[in-house]
Amino acid sequence: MSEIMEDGVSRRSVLKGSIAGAGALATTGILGAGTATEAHAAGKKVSVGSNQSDPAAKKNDAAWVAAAKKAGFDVKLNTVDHNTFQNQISSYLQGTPDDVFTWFAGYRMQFFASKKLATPIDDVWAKIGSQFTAGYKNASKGLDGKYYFVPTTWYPWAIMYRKSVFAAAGVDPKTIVTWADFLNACKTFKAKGITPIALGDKGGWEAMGTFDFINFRTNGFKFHMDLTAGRVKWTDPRVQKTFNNWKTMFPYQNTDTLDLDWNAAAQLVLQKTAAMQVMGAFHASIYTDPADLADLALFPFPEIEKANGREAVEAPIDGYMLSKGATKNAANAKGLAGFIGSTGYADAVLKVAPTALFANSKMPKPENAFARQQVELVQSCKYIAQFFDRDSRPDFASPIFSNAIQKFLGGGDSVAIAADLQKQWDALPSA
Amino acid sequence: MVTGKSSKVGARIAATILFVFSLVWLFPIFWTLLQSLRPYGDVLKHGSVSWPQHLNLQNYWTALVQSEMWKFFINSVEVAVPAVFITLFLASMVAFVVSRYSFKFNIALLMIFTAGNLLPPQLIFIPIFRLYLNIWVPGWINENNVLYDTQLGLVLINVAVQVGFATFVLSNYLKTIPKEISESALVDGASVWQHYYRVMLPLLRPALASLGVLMTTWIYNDFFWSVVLLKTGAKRPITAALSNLQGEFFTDYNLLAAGAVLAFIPTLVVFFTLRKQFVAGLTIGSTKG
Amino acid sequence: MSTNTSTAVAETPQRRRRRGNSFTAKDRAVIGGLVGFPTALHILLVWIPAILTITLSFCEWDGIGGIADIKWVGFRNYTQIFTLYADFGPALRNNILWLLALALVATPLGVILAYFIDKELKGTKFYQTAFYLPMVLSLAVTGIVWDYIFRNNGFVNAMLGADHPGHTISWFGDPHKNIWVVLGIASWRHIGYIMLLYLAGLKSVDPSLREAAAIDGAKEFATFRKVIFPSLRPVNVIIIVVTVIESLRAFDLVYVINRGKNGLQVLAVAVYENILGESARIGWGAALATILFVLCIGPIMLYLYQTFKADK
Repeated sequence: MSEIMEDGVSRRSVLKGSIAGAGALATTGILGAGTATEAHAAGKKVSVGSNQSDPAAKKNDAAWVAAAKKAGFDVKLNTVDHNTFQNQISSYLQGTPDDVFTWFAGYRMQFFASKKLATPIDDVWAKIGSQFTAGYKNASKGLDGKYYFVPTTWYPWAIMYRKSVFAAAGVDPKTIVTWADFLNACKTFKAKGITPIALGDKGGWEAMGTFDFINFRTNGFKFHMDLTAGRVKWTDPRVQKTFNNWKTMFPYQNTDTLDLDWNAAAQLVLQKTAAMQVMGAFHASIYTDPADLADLALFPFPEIEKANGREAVEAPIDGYMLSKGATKNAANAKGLAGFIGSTGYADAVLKVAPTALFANSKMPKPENAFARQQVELVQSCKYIAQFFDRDSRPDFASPIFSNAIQKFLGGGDSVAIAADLQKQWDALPSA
Repeated sequence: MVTGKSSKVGARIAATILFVFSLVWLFPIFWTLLQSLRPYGDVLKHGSVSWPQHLNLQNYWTALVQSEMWKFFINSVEVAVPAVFITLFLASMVAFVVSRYSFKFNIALLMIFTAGNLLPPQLIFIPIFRLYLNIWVPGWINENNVLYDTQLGLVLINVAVQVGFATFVLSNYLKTIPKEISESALVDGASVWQHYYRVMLPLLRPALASLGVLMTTWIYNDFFWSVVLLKTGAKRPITAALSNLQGEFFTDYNLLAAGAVLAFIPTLVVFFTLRKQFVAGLTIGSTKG
Repeated sequence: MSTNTSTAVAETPQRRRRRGNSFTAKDRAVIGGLVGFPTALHILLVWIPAILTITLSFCEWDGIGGIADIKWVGFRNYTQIFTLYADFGPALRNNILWLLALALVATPLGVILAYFIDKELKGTKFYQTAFYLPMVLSLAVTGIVWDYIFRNNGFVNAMLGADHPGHTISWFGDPHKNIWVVLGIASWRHIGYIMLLYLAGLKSVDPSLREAAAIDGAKEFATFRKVIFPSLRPVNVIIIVVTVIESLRAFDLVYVINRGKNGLQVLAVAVYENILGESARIGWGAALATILFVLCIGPIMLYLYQTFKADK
């Protein structure tokens, strides 16, 4: 009943939208221009599955959907909460997925492409390719060399802190370079009654960022990527070096790690009861007061082994893919993918999310100070990782590795945990 | 029984314990209610256990209008109401036949229904998912033309599972109705359908009412099926949609409290207004028969 | 259950024969439809899927490829689950703990409550409502409601003075504590359910039974144990079955609290994760579901036996 109603309403509003959007369509030069005559009759219908369920992200979606409407696309947005969306991606893609859906670059994308649950979009890239650097092009390809992904935004992981808290404790973040510097800073904070490091791992994925950093600072970027891909065994003694280095951080972490999600841990920094959090730049999203936001800054994760320096960073890329179902609506879906890759998309999102960073190289340099700091950080690095759950097999990262990390944080024996990880990796079906 | 002072004191002690116990029992619900009336900022500043500075309905407004929870209420109604009616209708038919006519398969049938209701839903999910992807439905139900991701599919699975329990309860209830009533109907030359529709169905009314109240609560509260059989967030019933309020990148606990309260208000209303039927529905199957 | 068999339709063979012959063709069709349609629906959507799942537990399948991709692997899924699957041990342990907690603590408490409330103390209605209320809430809502009590900055930690930010007591995060908290919550719901079932049972006990026992000078507890309890056998069986099935089917509560990880693993969540998680291992999920089924089938049979033995 209500579905019919909704449909009726959307069709009517499409008509209005398409009249306004008809002019814009010609100038933006979007793919699937062959169907321009259809666009006059009704907006080009595309369904989009989105995991942007929290209020801030919903605003981003609303902004670009409105821009897409002006460009002639009638986007039907299906928003599902973040956790459920990720967790059920497999059954979602096998069922009746939306034409276009939000997803992540890395092996997490390639896995589903290789299972033939995505539609290759080389023809889209033929049009938008000039707007992206080689790094993004590579990050958008499947294992078969075809394009499957349109990158939109990205953010780095680093150590987030409040300038006022560091100033009050007399710690200069610029002097924190080595692991010893870092632990010394931690000591200073602890002596002042401030929890040095806020860590929450209730969801099981949050602490993977810390693991990744310590691992590639300790053993190098290549080792890390080999480990996530299974080319090195978990029983390798170098893995223990990573765990042991992490243990030196334990006295400086909050004790209720497994009770807090990333948001609750970030609150500790916001409220100045903790000094730092190893987090993605979306840490900023809980800073609703502009004065607080101006106080927020970041510095790179410290060096552990001199040879590896601080040359690697995690900077996951978010974007969109076309489901296998999109073949039924290929022209429209690919047209929308082209729009998502264009500055039209980025401009719309930037208006509502000033700290956002875009993959499109034609976008101007960010004006926001915190955003600029993120760009500088990544430009200073030689290697970019996605994130453990994007670089590794999905059937390893989310069910197996996240449990292991929680066990480790709960005081488990790292040797036994590593042995168990390898045993479970070996039992995975061939990818 | 031992009479006198000691038993009176004993009764008073028992009453006191019972009273304290019941307050402890109600406290979590009261606490959630209190949280839902406080703004998030207030709690952030003073902690969740502090004298509330501001109490208002802002969270409810936000949940209902901004998070569009009212839409999910409609979804819940669209699933629960047809599911309950169909379940009761089908169950009453089976219960009628097995309790009024003697066939060899009666007991086997009741056993299948009763056991089926007790199976864990996880056991039947994979084939259901595949089956639903292969059942065609017209475009006005689902533009993808499959049963998966439709409220109709949700109604069907709830009916299929709950009809087991309902049949069992109703057949027990029918056993308590004197067979003479049936016999007089047969003497009057009523057909099977008339016997069912004109004679038995009206007699079943109290049992149907009780069971209906109980089933409405159960189906309304269902979480598993609505999470796994619907991919469209906007089609979800209220219980499953609550997780939309637990966004990953931002969590407002007081808003969530308002959402939780909103989600359980209808069940409380049903419970308090139809309490007698509710309790009767649950116990009818266990004590009568 | 079967306490009033006298009122049931106990038809003599003679009458059955007579009536069987008197059915018209239309009557027969109506009976077929009345029974056939609901039965077909139930079997199609419950029993056939159950059998298919059990079959799938002997296969390897990522669920993504077509049916042709299904590989038969015999008992390999089972051996892998028993030896390799890290969550299986904790899940099984938690399900058993769940069962023990409900059976040994919650169920007796529910029975005791029912007994007291049955004595018509003042405010019986209030008590009934208070204890039964949790049962009306969905488990998803229950998880949220209790989160406010036990979360790191929740009520309990504040009362204990353990709410210093970053150093709170981890009620839900500590894998050695969280299962006990969750069992408490599950009991909070279960006690009211049992109370209600038992209360209805007690009301149906013939008052003359109690009076007879009282005249005999039997002590209160002895009366209950020797006279009332045995006369409530059908209710007792239902309570046992409800307790076992609820313990084995536990899903929503832990799923809402922390998705059933880190000390809160249960079998139903393990099934869910393997079937619906980001990458499906249908074979493992099906095998876990089958294990769950095997555990459930015992109590189900007991229930069926108790319910239908008088009819046979």
